[in-house]
Amino acid sequence: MDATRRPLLFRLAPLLLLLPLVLPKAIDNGYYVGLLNRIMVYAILVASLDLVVGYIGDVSIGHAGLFAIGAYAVAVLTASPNLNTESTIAHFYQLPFVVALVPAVLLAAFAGFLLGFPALRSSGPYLAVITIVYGLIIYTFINEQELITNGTKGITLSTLKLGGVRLGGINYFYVVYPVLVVSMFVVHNVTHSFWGRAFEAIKYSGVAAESCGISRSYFKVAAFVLSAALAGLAGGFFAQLDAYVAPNTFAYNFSVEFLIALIFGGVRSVLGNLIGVALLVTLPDIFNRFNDYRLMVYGTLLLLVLYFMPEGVVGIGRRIWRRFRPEDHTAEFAALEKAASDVDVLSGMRQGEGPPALELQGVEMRFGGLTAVRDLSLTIPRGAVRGLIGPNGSGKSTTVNVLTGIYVQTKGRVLSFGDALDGLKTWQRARKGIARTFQNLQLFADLTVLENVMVGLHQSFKSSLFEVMFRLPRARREEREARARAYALLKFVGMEKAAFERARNLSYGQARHLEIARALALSPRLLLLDEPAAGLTAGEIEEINALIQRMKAAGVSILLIEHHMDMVMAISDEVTVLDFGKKIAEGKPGVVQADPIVVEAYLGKHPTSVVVPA
Amino acid sequence: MSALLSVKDLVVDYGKIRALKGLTLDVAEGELVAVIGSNGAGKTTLMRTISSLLRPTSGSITFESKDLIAAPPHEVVRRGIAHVPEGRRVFAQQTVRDNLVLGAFLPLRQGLKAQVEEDLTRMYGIFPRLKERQDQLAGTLSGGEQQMLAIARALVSRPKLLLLDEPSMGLAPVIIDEVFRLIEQLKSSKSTTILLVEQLAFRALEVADRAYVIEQGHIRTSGPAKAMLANPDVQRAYLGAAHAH
Amino acid sequence: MQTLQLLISGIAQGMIYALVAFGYNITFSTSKTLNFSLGNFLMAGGVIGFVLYMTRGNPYWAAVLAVMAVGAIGGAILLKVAVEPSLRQRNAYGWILATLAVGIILRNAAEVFWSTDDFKFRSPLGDSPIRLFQVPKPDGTLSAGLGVYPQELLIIGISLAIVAGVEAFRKFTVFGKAVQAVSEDKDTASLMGIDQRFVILFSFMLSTAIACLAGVLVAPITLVSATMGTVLGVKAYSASIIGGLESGIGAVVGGLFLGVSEALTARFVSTGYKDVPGFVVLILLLLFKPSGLFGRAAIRKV
Repeated sequence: MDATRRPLLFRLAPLLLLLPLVLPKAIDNGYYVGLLNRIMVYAILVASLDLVVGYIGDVSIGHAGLFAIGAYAVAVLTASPNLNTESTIAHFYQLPFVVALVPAVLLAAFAGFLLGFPALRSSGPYLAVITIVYGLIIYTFINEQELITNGTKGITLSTLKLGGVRLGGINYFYVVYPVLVVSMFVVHNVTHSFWGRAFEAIKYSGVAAESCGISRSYFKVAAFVLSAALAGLAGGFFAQLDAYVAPNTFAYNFSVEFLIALIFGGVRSVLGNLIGVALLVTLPDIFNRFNDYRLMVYGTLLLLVLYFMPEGVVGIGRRIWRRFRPEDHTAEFAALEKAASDVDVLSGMRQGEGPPALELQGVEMRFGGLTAVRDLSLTIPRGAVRGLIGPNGSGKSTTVNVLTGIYVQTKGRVLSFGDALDGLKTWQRARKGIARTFQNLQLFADLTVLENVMVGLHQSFKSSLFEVMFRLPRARREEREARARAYALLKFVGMEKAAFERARNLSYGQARHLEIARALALSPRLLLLDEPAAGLTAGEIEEINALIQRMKAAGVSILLIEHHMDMVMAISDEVTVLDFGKKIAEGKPGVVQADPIVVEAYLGKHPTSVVVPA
Repeated sequence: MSALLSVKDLVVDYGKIRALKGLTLDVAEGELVAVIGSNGAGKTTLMRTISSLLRPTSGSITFESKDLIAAPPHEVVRRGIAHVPEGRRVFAQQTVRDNLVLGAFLPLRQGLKAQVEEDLTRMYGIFPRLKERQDQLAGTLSGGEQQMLAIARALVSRPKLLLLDEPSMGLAPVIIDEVFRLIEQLKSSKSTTILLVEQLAFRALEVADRAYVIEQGHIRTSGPAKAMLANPDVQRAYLGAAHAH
Repeated sequence: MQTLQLLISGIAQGMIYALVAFGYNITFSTSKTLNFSLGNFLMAGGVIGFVLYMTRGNPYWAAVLAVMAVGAIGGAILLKVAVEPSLRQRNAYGWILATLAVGIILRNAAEVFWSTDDFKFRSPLGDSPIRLFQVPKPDGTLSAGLGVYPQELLIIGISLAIVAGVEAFRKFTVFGKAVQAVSEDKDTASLMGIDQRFVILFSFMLSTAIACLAGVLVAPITLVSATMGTVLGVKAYSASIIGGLESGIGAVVGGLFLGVSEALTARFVSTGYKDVPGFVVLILLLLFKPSGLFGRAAIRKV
């Protein structure tokens, strides 16, 4: 969501955060303060789950295991023999709580790292099953390794003491609350930065994310590591909540209940995480004997939420809010207009002399017995617009996929501006200046138009994760600059008025323009347009043509794959024709159009030998 | 003569794209009507909408004077329309014979076992290569053989209307010759009415009685097939207006 | 001899996993969804079977039929209430959560309306083992020989019959071929006049009926409780994935592997760790050959 806030609120907000500190004394009831503490610890866990479920889009039913790692690491490292007299534990480390947190978080992060790899290869139900199994393996280990964990009997922890001050019971609030605030602050900052956008881009379209220079592997695994580390941290603080841990807390059902809390509260919202957890913790308290019916209620609740309020309580809240105060972005528009006025969108794309924009040398692409492209050689000079046409199945999409690194060619070489691209992954090629649009539209559906373009600006962000987590000046500056540049790019394609619309609500023509803006965000030297005119009206095609002319004038080399012949022929300097994976003609549009070989490829052999006048 | 199949002002949206923008055409009994046009023009969308795999936004489709749009896909088949899909789509993991049996699913459910046996024999007569390979898995057949199988599979239910979607796609020219010879054969045996969608315009025009040219979701021209062979509009629809060299 | 006994128990348990895995495969192949509540259907079968056979004294075969009927109806309800609405939603994996939700509702409903305790379910064929291969000992008595519980034999027999029956149906009847067609390419199957919605409904009803049957079969060799289905359901995924999500034989191989490895690990390593070999093989397969031992890797064209 948008990071701009009105200055007054921005200055007051931190003060509001101090208010809850009076709660423990105000309530003065061990039981209710304990409930609050529990809500806060669980909220951190749900926020960690949200990173995977809400942002990366994978269902995880094993976070109880990551939570358990954190809890047990702290328990094992801090426990003392006095409170665990009959245990089977072999060795007591008796480290201070704060010190124990470090290995707890690191261990959980490592477990997340191990989970990240299956996540790269599997998705959906397969991944859900892996997460369940993960949780069960951790549970089994905790249950069985009596020498470390005391098995089913659990571990009792000593009351927390920091610097001589006893912080158990009500006073634990003063420990957990700051941790909650900092955790949520960090999560909010990460998810509202280029990191969070990268996570969501991967969720909506892995292929489009990669074509924006985002390494899917890196960010997906990173999301799991961050999520696990946070879950482990929550687990560590959980251990001190009751000063006791036992395996049966961390069973499969625990993971399911937190998933429900997350969905109920609303994904991708720190407030939603809190609300969901509050419900989970307080419902059993409000209704007597609720515990007996707990799972039935949660199950039914989940079904209802899935069908009627998929955006959760927070989503409903937003809708009601919008009824009274409709979205008004005037101030933001004004600020962006001002910031974008000195951005030169086309800088960085101009090229002088040098090796050709693209060179395919004897490229062959075989899939088992099928040869989709054979012996293809093609050269696009710098600053040229090249059309690539051919009947259905002629190998055009395969060529594009070889170019962008989605397929690895079985023979031949691909070079761009003199650099060999072989061995480079899609995201690496994007970073070398090869941008593309997609025939079947790969937008980031629930991100705004502006955010979609900002994903394209991903590689312009140089801030470290630490700077992002704490909103340090460089991170803030880069975000501001990126927004301005993204807005300027939208102006270039004429889409700036829709900046705050969700991409999914755009019309087809608008969506096509957005893809072009996103591709331009990479400051590409070579732009691949994959059927940009499909489904557009004549007027919209005119607009695209004009855009292409402007980009060409700026020095961008363009490869245009199209079926719309009038468009291709009008705008291309030269046209290459493929049929059955081979190049059958190449040259100026007029020549290619009249070439009998091309005519035959498209229309078949003419029954009479009379050539039809064009 | 009232049309067997009548499509009026059909508008079909495919996701956000308006693939068909108000299409009107009809097919009379016994005819072979061709719909030609280049890629993305809307030909396959038309076929899939007739088969009820896609729902139109507006417009009407009637078959034997009864509305077809409300019918679910299996009902469309029951009414007598068989569709040979683009890319053939044989059931690769089942044998050639089982593919044909599946084509006869509805008659078999109606208990017409003897008729189906007869039809299978008839198919083997028209397509001897399929008989040779009847116990082979359909996925191991060559492209041309799969095309034959897909057509036989559609014919085995004795359809009143055969929808043939891009039979030439992905096939080598020699095989395309074979396929079109077969289509000629079907036409002259008058066994079924055919609506043929093809990218190779000239081939289609050679076998058809009448033709429609689709471009960007509209009908550009239509008329008797032989006349269209000489019509420059056809080539223009595929390769664009001529450009000076 | 002891090891052989162990193997037979492992095989029996494995066939139960195979039945549930088979259930997963049946619905996955036609609807491309995995039913996360199938383990709880097994539990429902065990619980309802218990109520009919043990509490009310109905004959075992009547309990089996009743349980399968209830299972089938439950499957239809699951499809209409949980799966179909989720598939219509924007979120691609809503059905995972929906079937999970139904699972926990079933489990809690059993706890609330029946009991939270564990119960012993008597086998209709008697609870004493059949002794085979007994040899006379020097002191005149017979050796223990090989002890096999009749229920184990019943489980193995019925499970194999069911799997064989469904596979035969799939391969040799027209409707069975229609089901295969829907799994392979549902749009083209529609073009053959096959009603894909009916096929999917049928597969859901069949899979839950089989799961419920598995519940009433396994009950005598474990304990019946409201929670008996949860972990079993998870282990059956392993069996499905090990064998390949669309394969019938694969479910059996996967199930057997799991059952036998469990029995052997429990005996020779420790009961606590008996689930580990299955999990480890699962994770390895998901990393390197997600289509399972018998599955076909799909080639996807971008």
